Amino acid sequence: MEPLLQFWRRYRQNRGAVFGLAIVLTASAMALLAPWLFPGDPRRIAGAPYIAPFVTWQFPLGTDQLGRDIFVQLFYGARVSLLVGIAASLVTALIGCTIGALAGFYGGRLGALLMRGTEMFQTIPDIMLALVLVTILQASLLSVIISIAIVSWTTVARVTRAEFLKFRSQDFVLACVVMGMPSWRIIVSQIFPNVLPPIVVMTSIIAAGAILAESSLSFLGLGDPNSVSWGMMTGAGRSVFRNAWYVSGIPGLAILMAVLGINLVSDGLNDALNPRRRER
Amino acid sequence: MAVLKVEDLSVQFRTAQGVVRAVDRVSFEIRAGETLAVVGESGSGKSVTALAIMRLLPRHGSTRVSGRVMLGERDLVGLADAEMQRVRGNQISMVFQEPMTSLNPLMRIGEQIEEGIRRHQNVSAAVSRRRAVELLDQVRIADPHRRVDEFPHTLSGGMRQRVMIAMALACEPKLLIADEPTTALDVTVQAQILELLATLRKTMNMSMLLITHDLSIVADTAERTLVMYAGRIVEAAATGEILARPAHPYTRGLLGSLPKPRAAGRSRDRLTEIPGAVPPLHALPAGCSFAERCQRADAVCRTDRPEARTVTHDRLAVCHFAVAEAI
Repeated sequence: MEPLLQFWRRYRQNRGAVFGLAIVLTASAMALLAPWLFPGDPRRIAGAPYIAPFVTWQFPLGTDQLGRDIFVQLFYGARVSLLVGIAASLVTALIGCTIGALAGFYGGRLGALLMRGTEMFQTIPDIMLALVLVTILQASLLSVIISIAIVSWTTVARVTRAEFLKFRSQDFVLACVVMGMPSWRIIVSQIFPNVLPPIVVMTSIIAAGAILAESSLSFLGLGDPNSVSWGMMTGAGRSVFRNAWYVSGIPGLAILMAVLGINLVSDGLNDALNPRRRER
Repeated sequence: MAVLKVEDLSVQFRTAQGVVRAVDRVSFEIRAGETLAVVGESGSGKSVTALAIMRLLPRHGSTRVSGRVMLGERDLVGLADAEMQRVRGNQISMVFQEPMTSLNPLMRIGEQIEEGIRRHQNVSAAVSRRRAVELLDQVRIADPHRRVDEFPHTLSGGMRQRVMIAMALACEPKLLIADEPTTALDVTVQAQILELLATLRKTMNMSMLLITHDLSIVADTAERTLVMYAGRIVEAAATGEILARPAHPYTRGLLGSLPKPRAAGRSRDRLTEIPGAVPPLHALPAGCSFAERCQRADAVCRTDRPEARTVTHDRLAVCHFAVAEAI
């Protein structure tokens, strides 16, 4: 309990990070409460089309060109955006950490091979590769998550490798070898906890990027056709943007806020996890 | 009886400048219960020897280790990795030079000591924890019950080195390799750590390989001493003999560079130094590698490499002109 409290005290000092956390918590609450607050299909026609926001209490954020409730869709969209953000960043972290740790710890030929592979992925433009992958895998939430993870693990791998290289030659790691500890255990139980802070920060930035990537894919019509997402809403509203800006503007604002919130949180995590700022 | 027998151990590194022989056909043995000191300046190959014994050298194509390191009946050089892991920490342990970085900053010191015990002995968590407290007490850390749950950053350098020693001794190894264990510490703390090592060695009936560049700490700690120069052993003898009557010109030079207590009424003598520097290992001269810096060097020293010769009983020196002389 005590270390958690200390962590919170350090985190709290960054006001922007507290604001970011509030945004993230709000979005999470929206995602969790959506089916409970608004049962039924969020994409059903609920009223007249093109009702502007803040006009009637029945549709606080108005309706789109088909008369669907934007407020309700926003809640359901948070589910997809957050799910993609969390799942894609976790898969990304898993792939990136594994490859980075192996390359950094073992080095030599294996390390060179893994890093050349990483560089190969880095030379392909992210969004292009993601588009191709989603097209091949068929549009579904899972394929969106997998595609995003495949295009974004390289940075995590490079950071993890650099950290492992740094710790690999530290005396305490040597002391563990001398103690007779097998390599996998040294990697997992000794080095990994030490390299966790930069990876946590990295992963939160990737979560923000994943939300953006999902929005781009949905905007282009390559998202999961069976679920509402903010990107899809933005994309659907773009043809009526000149007479009803809010149809794509409001979900666009939601994307902006969510990405901003997560970035602020990762900033705060960076400050709070940085050991140089810890001892005061 | 010998605990560890090193026979013809060589370590080669392939570098951009060519092949470097960091350790060149080194042979020695460590007897049960004794402390053997290996003395030499930076680049003499003393640490690489220790790393080769523990098999801690990088295992890329550019490193070659040959010769034998016999622990009882087993040759550690060719041992399978899993077998080697059972030897490390259990039969041979090691203490490093830099106590500030030798402990994992995120783990409590007790956990780090227990790690080794659990690895090699099939004991319960309660037993290993009790053992960790005992060990901290043995290395004279005050209040071990409280310290066992602390993180390394709360300890001073000397205390961390004590924790390192406790970790190394956790499974009562037959041999402890101490690679410059006191170099990073204050002089007063140095003396305490050396004394602690000496006492523990006696009570646990363990052998010790003490690697140092500091001749002054050898006298009180080691029974026998090896002097290394440019990857080779140049002199081996009982410590008292070496200090009183060094047979190799290099050893004599090392001793001459130590400050001596001043006799009453005499002015301070200037310290003698060994001229020049260790030759680069990738371009060793044809003859004796010390010839360039040696005052006694002759034509033969520049052309012929000296072989080890027995100076007196139990004493070796690798020099064409080796004689035990008082200094």
